[in-house]
Amino acid sequence: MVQTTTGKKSIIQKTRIGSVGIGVFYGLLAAFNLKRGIALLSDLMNTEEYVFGSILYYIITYAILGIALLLAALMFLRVAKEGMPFQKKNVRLVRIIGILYFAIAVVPALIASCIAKEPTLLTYILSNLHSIFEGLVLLMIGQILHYGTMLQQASDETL
Amino acid sequence: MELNHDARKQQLNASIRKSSSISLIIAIIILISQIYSYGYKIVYTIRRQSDGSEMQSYFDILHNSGYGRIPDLIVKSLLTIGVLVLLILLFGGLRKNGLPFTKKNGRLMTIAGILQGLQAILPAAFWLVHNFPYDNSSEPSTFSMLFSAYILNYHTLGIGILLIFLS
Repeated sequence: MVQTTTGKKSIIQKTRIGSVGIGVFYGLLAAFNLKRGIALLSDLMNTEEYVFGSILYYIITYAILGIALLLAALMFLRVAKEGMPFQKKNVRLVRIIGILYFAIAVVPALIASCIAKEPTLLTYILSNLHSIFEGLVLLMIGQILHYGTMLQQASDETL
Repeated sequence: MELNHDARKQQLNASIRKSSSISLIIAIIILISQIYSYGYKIVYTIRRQSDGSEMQSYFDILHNSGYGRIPDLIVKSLLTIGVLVLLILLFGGLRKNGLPFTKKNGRLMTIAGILQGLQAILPAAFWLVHNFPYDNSSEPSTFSMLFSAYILNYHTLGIGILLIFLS
């Protein structure tokens, strides 16, 4: 029993340390993403009409991706603070990030093709098929976390 | 209370099984489309290089193409297909028993996470190796371009890290 408790403490400690590192890393990625988006924004102001749609597409993509990365950073820093990955708040966050990944595949393409009147909506979506799949993977991960949260709750209630 | 817990567990198992079935079908469709897409790109690139009137050296073919360089295409295609196959195996397992926390699933997630991470990092590394010797001090540095241009794929890297963390 003592060994189990010690083992559990060690796992929680490793989870905390890992989560801090990953949270900081995601935060840095979000910052680089923001830098990309700002650089493109200044290009948007002085650009020819025929590339306006493409630049707008990338700006919206970076904005949505930046939000997703920030939410991921927030989730990992919370796990680092509390030492418990299986919580309802984290399940919600992963699901939101999954929906944002779906949005990356569709929303920028829709807005860019409407504003720039470029008939390439399907091309944009098809070129972002991996975002749809990654969104699906994230929603599955959300389900797995939900299952883990339920097991965690049952375990805590038993104790 | 125990009945409630068992009922919830059964419900979640069923829900995981159902979502895994849908994910499995989509993953197979995407695998087929990616095999076709990368196959087309590689064949197109090779044919484009053979089409010209002059004979080109093997290194010219390697470094000069419309869809990116051939080593990049081959590495990306192998890693993409590898990740998709592993996720298909994971979803297949989840579809059967609805139990996510098994050693086999942990291993599959770890390997898928590593491949996904490599999918983001290796093309960026190739780009860096290819461009570093030509660094010009009057232009933005190669290192900052690595992070500010369309080179390092953040969301692919993010998913890879998440898969490894979960495993």
